[in-house]
Amino acid sequence: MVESFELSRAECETLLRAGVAGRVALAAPDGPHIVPINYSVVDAAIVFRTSTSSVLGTHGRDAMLVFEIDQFDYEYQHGWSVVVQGRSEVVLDPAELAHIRRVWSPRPWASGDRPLVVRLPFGRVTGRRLGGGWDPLHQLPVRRTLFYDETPQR
Amino acid sequence: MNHDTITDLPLDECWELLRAHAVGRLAFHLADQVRIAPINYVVDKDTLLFRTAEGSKLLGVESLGDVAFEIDGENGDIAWSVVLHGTAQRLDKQAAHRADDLALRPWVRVDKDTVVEIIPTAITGRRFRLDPQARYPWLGG
Repeated sequence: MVESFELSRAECETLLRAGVAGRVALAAPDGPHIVPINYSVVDAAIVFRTSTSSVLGTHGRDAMLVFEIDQFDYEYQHGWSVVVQGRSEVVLDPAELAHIRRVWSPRPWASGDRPLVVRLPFGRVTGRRLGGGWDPLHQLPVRRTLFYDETPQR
Repeated sequence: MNHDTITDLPLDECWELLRAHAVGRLAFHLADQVRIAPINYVVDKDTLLFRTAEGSKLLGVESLGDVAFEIDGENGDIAWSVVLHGTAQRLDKQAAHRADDLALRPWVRVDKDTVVEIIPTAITGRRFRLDPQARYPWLGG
């Protein structure tokens, strides 16, 4: 059994900026969905890309979403998770899209692929750490992983 | 141009992955909002069990049983995820002993806990193979 502690807002933001993959949870008519995604943090917002026909593209635009990242170590029973709650917005402004494209990391942005850009500004940001005596910021996620969101909605 | 290969995982492989892991993320409704929380779970035949203390997670489960659950990981150049849709229900004390038999021990200390069962209605999984060059852009790709 391990203790659980709250992370500060600053720690949460550092962890968010260090990560590349997370999960979006949203409400759809058929119930809650979880979509693993690649993301970047741009100007205090989570930014991700999707296609218009996906669950995210259909029900995740201009919607209340939650976004989550975490890391767990089974052996040592360490872990942390950060959750961002807020309202998503589709990015349409060409200048803003160009800006996001320039700063997008770690992978180059393949054009035509998942053309809908959505940002989730840091609304409510919370985080928890499991297990004492260690610092999540010293074990930042090394996951350079791209998740494909999901199949188009029928 | 990089090419990422996406494969849908067969159901038995999804279950294999679910059995091989112990932490996943649960999405559920609480009042009017979707919430997500990491949970420590265990597979019991064809359902999932987790423990929770009296609190928001369980409140969400009691008020609306539809949930989504996800696990993911990566091995070298392969990333994978399994997403499950289902209904969640609290188990009574007798049924809750199933969790003891399966050694479901949550990492976080809870004072009094309840065992919740997730009965899947749909399970999908994906494997995603990455272009190694794109993965390490600083190597000059």
